[in-house]
Amino acid sequence: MIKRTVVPGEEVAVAEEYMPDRGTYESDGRILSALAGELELDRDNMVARVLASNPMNILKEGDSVFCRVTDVRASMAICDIQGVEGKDRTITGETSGTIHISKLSSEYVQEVGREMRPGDLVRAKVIQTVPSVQLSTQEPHFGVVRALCRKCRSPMILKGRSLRCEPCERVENRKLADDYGCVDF
Amino acid sequence: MSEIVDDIKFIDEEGKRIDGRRVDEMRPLKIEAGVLKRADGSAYLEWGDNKVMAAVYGPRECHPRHMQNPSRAIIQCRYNMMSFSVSDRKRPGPDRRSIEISKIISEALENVVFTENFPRTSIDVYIEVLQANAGTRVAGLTAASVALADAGIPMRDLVPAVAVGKADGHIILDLNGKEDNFGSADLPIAMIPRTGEVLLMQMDGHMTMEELDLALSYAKKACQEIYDIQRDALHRRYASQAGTEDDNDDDDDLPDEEA
Repeated sequence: MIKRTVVPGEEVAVAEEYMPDRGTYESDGRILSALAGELELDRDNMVARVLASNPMNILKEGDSVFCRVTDVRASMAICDIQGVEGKDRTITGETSGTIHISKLSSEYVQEVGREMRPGDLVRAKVIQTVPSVQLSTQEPHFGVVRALCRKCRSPMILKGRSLRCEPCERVENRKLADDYGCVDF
Repeated sequence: MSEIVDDIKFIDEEGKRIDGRRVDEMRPLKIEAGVLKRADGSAYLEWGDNKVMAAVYGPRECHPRHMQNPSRAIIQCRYNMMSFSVSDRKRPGPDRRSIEISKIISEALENVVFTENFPRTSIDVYIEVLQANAGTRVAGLTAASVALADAGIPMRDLVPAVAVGKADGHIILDLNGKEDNFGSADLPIAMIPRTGEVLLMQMDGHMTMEELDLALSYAKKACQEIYDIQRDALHRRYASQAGTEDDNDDDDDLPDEEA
C-alpha cells in the first residue's frame, strides 16, 4: 500500500492498472484525485482511493445524532438533525429525519406526544439514510436529552423517572436518554 | 483626467513596467489554506497588494428550498469588497459589479466540482476582498478553489485564474491598479493547465487577434505557475496536519510499549 498526500487534479495512477474508487475519477485513461487528502493504492483490489483530510459529514447508519423535534404526528416524530455526536462539521445533505412510533421506545408507545414534544432535543441513532433518514431511540442511551415545559418553556428537571418543571410544578413524561440533563453540547 | 493618462508611461525603455516587472511577470502570490476555524474550508491569498479571504460551507441543505436542484448541488457564491478595500470608501453591500462577479465565479466553480454527487444541496462560497489592487475576481476565484479543496469537496481540478491586459500597446500579464485603470484592455481568464480548459474569460477594451493569442499564451504560463502555488498551499496545510497526527500517535504508542 502506497500512501502520499495528493490534491484535486493530481494524477495518481493509470486506468489500465487501477480502478477509480472513492475520491478519484478517471479521465483520458488516467486516474486523478478528486480530493485533497491521503492517497491509497490498494494492490489487493487494484483500486485507487483518496481519503479526504477534512472529510464531509455524510450521515450513515449507526451514527449517533442530536436532533430537535419539529413536529409530532400520530405515528412519528419529525426532527431536524443538528449534528453528529463527536463531529464539528455540519451535515452534508438531508437534515430532516423521522422517528417512527415503533422505533421510539423499547416499551409500548400509545401516543408519540407522550414521549416527545416539539422543541425537545433528542439523541437518536440513524437506522436508515436512503430514501429518507429514519432514526431510532429504542436503546437506553437514546432519547430526549433536554426538554422544555409545555406551559412555561423552562427547562425540565429529572425527578425519578419523569420530568418536573419547577416554576409551574408540573410533571411530564418523555422517552429519556440515560444521561438526561448531563449532556454537554 | 486625460492628462494623467498621457503622463503615465507603462513600459520604459528597458521593457520594465511601473512596478519594475517584465511584461510577462506576475506579482508575487502567496496562498494559505485552512485559515478559518469555523468554515468547512478556507483560504487566504495575497497577490501583490490584493488581500482576499475565501470561505466554503457545505455541501449543506439548500435554503430557500425552491433553489434546490434535485439532480445536483448548486454553488452559491458571494463576492464582496470590504468598504476599506479601496482608497475611496466603497459603499458596502452588493452592487451590480459584485453580483456579476459572484455569478461568473460560481459558474466557473460549477464546472469543476462534482455537483452531481450531492443532489438538493448548496455549496456556499464566500469571498471577501480585504484589500483591492486590480484583478480581485481572479484572486477571488483562485482562493475559492483552494478553499473548496480544503473543505474536502470532490472536484476535477483546482482553478487558477489570472488577468492579462494591454497598456501602451503592450500585452502585459497580471495588471496592477494603475495599469487596470488607465490601460486599454483587461482580460481575466481562468484555465485548468492540465487540460487547457477555460472556465472564465471576460474582456473589456480591444485586442487584435495576434494580441489575444499572445495574451492567452501569457495566461497559460501564469496559470501553471498559480496552479503550483495552489497545490503547494494545500500540501503545506496537510503536511502540518499530518505532523500533529503523528505526534498523537507517538503519545498513544508509548504506554503500550511500557506495558
